[in-house]
Amino acid sequence: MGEMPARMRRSLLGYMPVDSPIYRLHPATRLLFLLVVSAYPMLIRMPELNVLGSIFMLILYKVARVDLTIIKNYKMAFVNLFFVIAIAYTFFGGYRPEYRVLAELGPVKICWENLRWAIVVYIQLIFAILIMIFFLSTTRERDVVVGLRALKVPFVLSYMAGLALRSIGLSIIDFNTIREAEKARALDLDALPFSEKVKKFGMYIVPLVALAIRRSDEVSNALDSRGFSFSGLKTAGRTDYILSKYRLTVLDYLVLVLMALFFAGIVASQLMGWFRVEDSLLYRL
Amino acid sequence: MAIIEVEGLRWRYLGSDWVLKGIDLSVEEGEFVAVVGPNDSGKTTLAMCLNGLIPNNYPGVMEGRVVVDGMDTREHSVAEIARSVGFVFPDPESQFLSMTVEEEVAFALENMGLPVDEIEERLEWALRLTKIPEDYLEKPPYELSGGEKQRVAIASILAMRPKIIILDEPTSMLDPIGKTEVIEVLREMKRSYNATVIVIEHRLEDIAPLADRVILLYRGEVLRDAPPREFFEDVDFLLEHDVFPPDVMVVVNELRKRGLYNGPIPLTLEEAERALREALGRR
Repeated sequence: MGEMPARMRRSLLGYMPVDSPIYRLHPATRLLFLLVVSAYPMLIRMPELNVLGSIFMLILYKVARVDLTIIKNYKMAFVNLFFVIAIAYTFFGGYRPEYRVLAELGPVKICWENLRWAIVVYIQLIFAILIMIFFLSTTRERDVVVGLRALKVPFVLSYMAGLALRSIGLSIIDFNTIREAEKARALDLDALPFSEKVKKFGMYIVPLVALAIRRSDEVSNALDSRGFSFSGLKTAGRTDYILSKYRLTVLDYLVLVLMALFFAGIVASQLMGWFRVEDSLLYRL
Repeated sequence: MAIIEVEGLRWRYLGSDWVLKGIDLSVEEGEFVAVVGPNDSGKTTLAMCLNGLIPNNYPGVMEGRVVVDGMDTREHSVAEIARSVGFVFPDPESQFLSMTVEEEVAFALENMGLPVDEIEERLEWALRLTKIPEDYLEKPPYELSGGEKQRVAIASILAMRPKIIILDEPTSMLDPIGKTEVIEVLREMKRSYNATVIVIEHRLEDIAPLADRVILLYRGEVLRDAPPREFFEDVDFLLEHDVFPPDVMVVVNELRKRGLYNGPIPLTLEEAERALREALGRR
């Protein structure tokens, strides 16, 4: 096992070196980066540009010193995603007389046009997933909360977002604890056939829900005991100490301007009809 | 002057029998009170009555009156009472509300609307008192050791500078090192922070020397309420009620029964040593 660098900071998806350049950016800048860059794969369908975007993201991973092995953890998810999309589009994508039929499986016609859409959507999603992994790898719950508050999102909503993020982590821990407890009682889920696995997963739901309810009860008591009372979205009189620790720097302004230009470019491309999927190389095949 | 007044307090959760069966209690400002008793004697329920979680957050039937720092707990919300009463739960993880130590300690201070400078000053003070290093500020509290977690929980309450601090079995979920760390913090609190402290605790050997009063709660009733020396005087009575005094007290009690020692029950190790020397000298 490799030695972990001395100073690491826990992010939502793992650990990041404390001296990563990404930490020079204000959390609000990082949050806006997620929102703006995510608009790219959602609005631009041309696969070549989404492949370029994915390459750009991988470069950012290196610059931000995100451990690229984290992507390997998702390789099965990438493969499964491809099959799900391919099946959905090829089997249920519909048929028109002008479509080129590649194969026929009984009543189902596998057409190039549907498969092409599957490839387009898959590449879009890969780019979107890379953006999300990057964000989660470089961001802490605290950054999300600070980012939202800096963008003037009410405290209650930003705090709820933070709690939701944390509850995902806690539920995973609970799930693993229950699994370990079952293993300790000689239930080897891995050895069971798929149908049995699905049935057994039902067993996890009850304790997980019970634990979640107990946790929410505890959090509610703890919130009350620390003087927090819910009075709607406006929390008048509450100091934002944590937000006061952050300042926007010249670098932030520079990145924000670049993002604004980038977003304007995406919007303009949509209005002007640039980078259409029909202009793609795939459509010349 | 009494800062806590409990009169004829009876409480039962919905669908259960009476958990508290008529508690009368008065705690003076600055007192350090230890509450002991076996499991299911109503200690946690009593603690929750003192910070208003009962009756505000739990359905049940309450009779009698609880007044803390001039606030009747029926008439004030938990958040209002929290400005006077800090509450430390047994499980440190269940009370964490944030993902870094800094946010955790500052959370209540932000709710109080204190200026940033004052939050910073209180945060540093609370961390110093609980001996939490400053480089822990950016760490998630979940990743600390058990003792450190509970110290962070205590720091986040201390930072509010409440007049009353209630600690509900603060060492029950900790390993021996963690327990010692927390007891050390309680000792420091007693020495340098003059709040009213109510501790529910099983480690009697550590709490007895710190407490001004010890209260035995048994099946929802206060059976004994006395200064530590008087409280531990009748060791047999305590053992009959499932309270296990420190071993040295039990040993010295046996020596007394056999006529080998006739002094008071020792509260500290030093006192126990003197008692044993005296007993050995008599042989």
